[in-house]
Amino acid sequence: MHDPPSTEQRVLAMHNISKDFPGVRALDHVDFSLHGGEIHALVGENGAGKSTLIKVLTGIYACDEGCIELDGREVHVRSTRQMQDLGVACIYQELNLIPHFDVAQNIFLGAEPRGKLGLVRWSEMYREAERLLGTLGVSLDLRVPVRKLGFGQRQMVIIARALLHNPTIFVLDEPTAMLTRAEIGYLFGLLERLKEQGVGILYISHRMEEVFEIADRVTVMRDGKNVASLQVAETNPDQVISLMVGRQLDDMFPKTDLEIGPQLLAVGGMGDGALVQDVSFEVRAGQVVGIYGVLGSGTAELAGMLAGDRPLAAGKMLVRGEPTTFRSPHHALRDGIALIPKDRRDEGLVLSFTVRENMTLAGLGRWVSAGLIRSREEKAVTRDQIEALNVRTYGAEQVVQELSGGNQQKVVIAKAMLSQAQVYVFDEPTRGVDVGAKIEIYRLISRLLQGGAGVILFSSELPEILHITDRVMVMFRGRMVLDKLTQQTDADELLMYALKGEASETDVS
Amino acid sequence: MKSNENVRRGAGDLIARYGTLGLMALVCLFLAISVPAFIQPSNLFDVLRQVAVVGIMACGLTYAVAAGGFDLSVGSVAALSTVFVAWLLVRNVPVLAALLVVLAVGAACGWANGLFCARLRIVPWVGTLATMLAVVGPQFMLTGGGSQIPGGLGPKQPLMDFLGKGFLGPVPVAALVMLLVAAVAEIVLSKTALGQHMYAAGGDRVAAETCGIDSRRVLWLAYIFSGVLAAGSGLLMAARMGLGQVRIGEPYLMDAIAAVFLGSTVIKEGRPHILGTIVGAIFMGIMFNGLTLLHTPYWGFYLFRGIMVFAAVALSGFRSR
Ligand SMILES: Nc1ncnc2c1ncn2[C@@H]1O[C@H](COP(=O)(O)OP(=O)(O)OP(=O)(O)O)[C@@H](O)[C@H]1O
Ligand SMILES: [Mg+2]
Repeated sequence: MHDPPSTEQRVLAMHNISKDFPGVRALDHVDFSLHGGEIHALVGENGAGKSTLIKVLTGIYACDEGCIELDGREVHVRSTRQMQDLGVACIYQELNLIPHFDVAQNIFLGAEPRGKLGLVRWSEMYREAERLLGTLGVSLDLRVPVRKLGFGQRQMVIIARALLHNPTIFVLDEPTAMLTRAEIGYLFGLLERLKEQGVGILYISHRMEEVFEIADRVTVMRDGKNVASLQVAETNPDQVISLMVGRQLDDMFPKTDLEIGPQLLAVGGMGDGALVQDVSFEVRAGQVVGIYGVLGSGTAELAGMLAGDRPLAAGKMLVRGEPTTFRSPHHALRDGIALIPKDRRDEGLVLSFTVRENMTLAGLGRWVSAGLIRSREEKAVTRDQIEALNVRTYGAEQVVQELSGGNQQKVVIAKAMLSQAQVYVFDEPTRGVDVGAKIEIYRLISRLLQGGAGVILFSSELPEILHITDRVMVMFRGRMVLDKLTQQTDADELLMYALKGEASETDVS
Repeated sequence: MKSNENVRRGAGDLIARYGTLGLMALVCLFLAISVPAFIQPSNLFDVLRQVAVVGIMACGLTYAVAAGGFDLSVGSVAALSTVFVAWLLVRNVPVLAALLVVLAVGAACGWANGLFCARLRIVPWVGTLATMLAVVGPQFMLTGGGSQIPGGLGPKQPLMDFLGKGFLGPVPVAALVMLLVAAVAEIVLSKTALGQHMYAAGGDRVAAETCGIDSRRVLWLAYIFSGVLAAGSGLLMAARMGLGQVRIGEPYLMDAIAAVFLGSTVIKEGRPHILGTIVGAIFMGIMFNGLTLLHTPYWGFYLFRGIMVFAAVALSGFRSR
């Protein structure tokens, strides 16, 4: 390993770390180091071992081999609490909050200010929470249970919790997967500030542009090994990606042109009386309709309504010309509309089920004869899906809880694909999945289209919207403000409408 | 970022928070009108006295449920306590020592539950069911196979009589004991870090653990508290009856479950808490008192118990969605 440039202090060194799970070697003799005042990005495909590495660091997993040094001294990791006290703070890939606890209670979870007899000093806790959020420049109602907050707000609660102990090492595992552009910008500002204060930051992300925007160094992992640690200034995205996947990727966005078929779904004047108003559009067979909007524009609510998760207050819905209403996702599915939700942990998966059980849950009826599941067929189908999406698992019978975050996402997608719907509503399908899987997901979408389905794609990634949709709509404050053929628009126009609700005269060329 | 979703305080929310209390008020009103004897202070205090046993037992169960477990053994442990304390007192063990020993046995039962359900992660329905059945054995051992310990609680027991049958002014001592226990239990569960960690472990175990909370330990402690309080309720039972009887506590299990789940629908947001549990226990007591005053036949009580447990669980399930 090369020596650090300049005089920066090495705050963390991990030597020769190995970790086995039943059936997989998640970490294979990994070396890793972090300096104070550095942002060090950690990248790799889904299942490469990134999350496992940081869980070894924070004391959630004990490593089978290797040692960890903090500030040059070797530590024997015994518990998460110990590492927390030694200045290691972490934001995990899964947002770990207690849903019915309020904001302040979650921030101070496990670190409640105590008085005599172990009594919690509530007023001090709320005061401190207020102050802490103040220094982060966030205003949140401290007494709202976190389940009522949006993703961005939950993320802020978690960040506040992590910073409570003034860490010297701050680890973030895909913190931006659920955030909007503005929120990401805000987070980056915060990271820059921490960096100036000398905090060492370990940053995991699948987004190359983020890595090249804020990181100083980047470490690439593949199959549980550290394949390279590079200065960001001395490399480029293509090199990093090829190190990650071990091969060259050419076609990022495959798109085949298809005949647009008959109308599958039409909505008219749809609204929920609050966050979505007067939305109308149609989806045809072989067509991808993209819906773009910033957080709070109503896209999340619209997705929920389309999938029967949220009641309609106004408007009508036609499925293949027949009027219909859904009261639950179950009804939607029966009418051939499947949602691939973005919060996979809460909505998409039964974590204690196996890969197979999850994948076939929604479409189980297809493999049942005389009340019995034809398990051979079920297994074969599952195997195909695992292969098609390249899910990294030791088999169809692995419990999904044990899969890496991105691989869980793939299982959610496989599950929806097996439900044999006609219209698929994808809500941010490629968040948190690696580049290889992204392409696989696009391929699967195009396969669905060839099979005569229609797709509605909610995405906050403009390149994705521009490359795989046929038609794109922009939502602003609950209304559709733009509806165009994708070929006739561009990123600037979409962004303008998403942020302002109209094209301002001066900016349009 | 501003939080845009403020806590709603619409009609639905009011019903959710105060519906159970409102229902209780309606029941009281109905009883007061149809059976005037109901609102006699002496009757009301009697209800409180009868509620004391279930109330204390249900406080223990509240801990187990809050921390994400369940405890089917509370009734059995209470019965064991009645038998054991009688056995000790008949053998002239000093009363304070006897009480402490019995509470320690309750703690041991809770510890065993914790071993099964927190440490070995056996499903609580199964793990605590084992304890529930197992502690019937020692009861018969102590009675020598009979259904009671011969000789009641031995020679005169002023302390036991005071606890079980005494009054301070018009107020039954048993009711005061329950309120005292509930007050301490409430403080531990809602005001200490330990209580907070129990709720966290019950809410999302993984999340709690990543915050450095030892969810196993707090769940284990919750089971121990549950065992101690179950034993305490048994002591009160023995004091009231003046004897120790095999399997006397088991019917109380259902009432305790109903109290906890009814309680979790009171005021706070869909999670078990001590104040609610006490309200739930009192609600149950009022209903049973009403049934008695209305001369309901014996089988009616069983039917009613079943309905209450079902309604309580259904109501609380609805809330915590
Ligand atoms: N608790 C566990 N039990 C068994 N296997 C596990 C467990 N946790 C992780 N694994 C396996 O270890 C490997 C590495 O997983 P890890 O979560 O570290 O990946 P990752 O790099 O974070 O991927 P992603 O980008 O998808 O989050 C995967 O093959 C995964 O299936
Ligand atoms: Mg991960």
